[in-house]
Amino acid sequence: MTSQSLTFALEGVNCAGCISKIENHISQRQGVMLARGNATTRRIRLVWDPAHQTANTLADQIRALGYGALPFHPGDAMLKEPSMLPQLGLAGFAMMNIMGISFAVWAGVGTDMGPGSMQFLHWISAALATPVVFYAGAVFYAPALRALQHGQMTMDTPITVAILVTFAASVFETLRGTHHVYFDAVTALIFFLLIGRVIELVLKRRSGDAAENLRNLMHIEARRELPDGAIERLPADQLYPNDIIIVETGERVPADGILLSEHAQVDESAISGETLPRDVDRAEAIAASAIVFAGPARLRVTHVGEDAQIGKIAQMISDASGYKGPMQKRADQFARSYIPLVLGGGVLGFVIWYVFLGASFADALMIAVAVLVVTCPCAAGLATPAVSARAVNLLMASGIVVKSGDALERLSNISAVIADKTGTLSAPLPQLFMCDEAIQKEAAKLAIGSSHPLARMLCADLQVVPAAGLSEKPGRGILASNGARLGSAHFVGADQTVDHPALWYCSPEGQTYCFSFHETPRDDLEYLIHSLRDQNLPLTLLSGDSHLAVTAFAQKHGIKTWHAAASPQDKLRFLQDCLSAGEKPLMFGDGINDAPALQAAYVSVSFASATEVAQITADIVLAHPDPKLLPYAIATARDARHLIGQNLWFSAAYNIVTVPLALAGLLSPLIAAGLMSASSIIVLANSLRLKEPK
Amino acid sequence: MTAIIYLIPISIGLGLCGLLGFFWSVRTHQYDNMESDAFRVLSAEDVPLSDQERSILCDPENRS
Repeated sequence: MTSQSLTFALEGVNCAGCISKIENHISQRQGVMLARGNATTRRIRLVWDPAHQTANTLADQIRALGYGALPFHPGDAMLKEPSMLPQLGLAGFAMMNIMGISFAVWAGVGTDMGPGSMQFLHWISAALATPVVFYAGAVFYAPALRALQHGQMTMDTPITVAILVTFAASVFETLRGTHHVYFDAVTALIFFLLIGRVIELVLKRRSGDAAENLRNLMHIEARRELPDGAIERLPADQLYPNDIIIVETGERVPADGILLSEHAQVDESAISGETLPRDVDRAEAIAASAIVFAGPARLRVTHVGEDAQIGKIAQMISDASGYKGPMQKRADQFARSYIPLVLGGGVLGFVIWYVFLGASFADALMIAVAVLVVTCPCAAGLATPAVSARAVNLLMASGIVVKSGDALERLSNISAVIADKTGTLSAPLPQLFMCDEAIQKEAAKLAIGSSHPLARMLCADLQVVPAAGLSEKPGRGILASNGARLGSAHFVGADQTVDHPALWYCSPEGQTYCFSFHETPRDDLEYLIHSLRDQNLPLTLLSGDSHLAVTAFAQKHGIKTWHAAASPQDKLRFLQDCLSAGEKPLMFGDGINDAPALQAAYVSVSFASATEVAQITADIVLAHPDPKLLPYAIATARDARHLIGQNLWFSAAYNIVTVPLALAGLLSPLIAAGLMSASSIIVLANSLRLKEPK
Repeated sequence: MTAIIYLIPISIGLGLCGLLGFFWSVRTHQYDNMESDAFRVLSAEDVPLSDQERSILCDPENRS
């Protein structure tokens, strides 16, 4: 039996439940052999019998459930880095076994374990540690080596040195038959560092998947008009600039283009975040991925593929993730200054003991290793994640999802807040502003026949019967057989214009009325503005909306700085300028147009109801569109930073005391292990003091 | 104490079996899609797979 298969990228899928719903629905269709969704990449793989179904009928089935489905064309990005799970598993397995054996050895040192048994246990540990060091640890050696070839040092450099020196010394001591072996320390170091790397990789992959699904928005079918007037269907990536294309109502525009028809109305929410359809006249530009609301639209293609605006946004997101350097740079700066000190300390200890104090080579090497082990940033390493884990859990309970401990740390350091307007500080759709209820009821009888967002808003809470003989003039308005009209000012014959979204109604008697829609701020916006003022964070409005609308909104709510009519590029540039000027801006936004800025910002916040790309690029996602959560998150992050500071001071003090002791050759491995555990427990206990801010 | 000479290698050998099982599960992409399977187990029908369904599921192309 023959079968066809295809992967679809899904839109509007927020959880595994949605995926499961689609799977169930599709797998019950006749001829469908496989429907397997992936909630992480938001894609679904379908296999079907071509006798019963086609890719189009299946895509329609998914759309009928209220989700978007587009055939997914894997790009080169599909060649993924291998996962580090096998390395992690191996390191964890070896670490736990070696720890068990180490306890026996430590207990044996103080009692009567014979040298033969001790030697045997050391050899077992060595056998377990060897694959960890040479297979799992290789994750750190390759980047360290690459950096070294360029004369640089990164955090991987000391890790590599510590692992290799400690391992070599331990093997050497095992051969000599002493008990100064540190196979447990080496494997534990590799295991815990790998956990961090695996989490980092998972997060990176998620944002990569989002960018790829976004690029996929461009991979749709187009209808090209040939010179003889015939229409040819072809995949959108085979379009060229200057081709003439036709886009029907309800379809997505496959490439950036110039409108050749007299008039069209498009929903560009994917690009601009603007939820109301935009009127487009002849010779105006329409961006790829816009949905034609009232058409058909005849376009001359100007930009295709990666050059199209949406391709550029996808590109900007991946570029901006490379730009997000300050944090990484700081870690490397730390490595550059702290690491040579550690290495130098080890070398110094060796030289002093071997050359000047006449110790044996092995004793001197052991002292050097003791210095390296004791400075191994265990307490310092726990200082931050222990507090972060506690804070992330606290915030999660209030509906604030922090994607990494790193994001929390950055959140506590912000110096400014930059927010998008529409959909972020204000409700996504404008609300109907005071009107005569009787007239609203009359108008709703017409509005109920239209799918325009404003019309739907007009009849939202009203139970009305549709007027007789409704006919919709797409992009202009709706008309009943009794002569009543609802639509644009021009359509109903009113000669006024207003500067805000409005619907005009003309009664059968010829009387015209205007329904005004005003942008409404989110509940608790005032609270947000006051809280940010109390927290000493200036708020800047960065909106793609018109100067008039943004200025009015900012002045009404006492926001002192604002930038209007900002394109995604402008927003990105603004954030980058802020960063270059030494600011640490928090970006708060919800649209695809905010995504590059969200990615570039020092730290970024979005909503669970925002576009998928915004959610995935943001560091922090608020479960409810409630601006009140933001000051709460900032306060918690600042408390956490305070505790992290205490922990770091403590671990620094610990090093200041223990390093000289190790250099003096006074620390036995047993005492060092005890000190290390005690310092870790103190750090953990201190972290639990984090409470909800008042 | 001589017992440890074979008991410890045996216990590590057993652990290695578990580790090999883990390697196998990673290699067969069982950690690629953690969320959906948790839901699928609730909604799937309790019927054994047909040979054809099994071959489709085992095709590496179809692993989501």
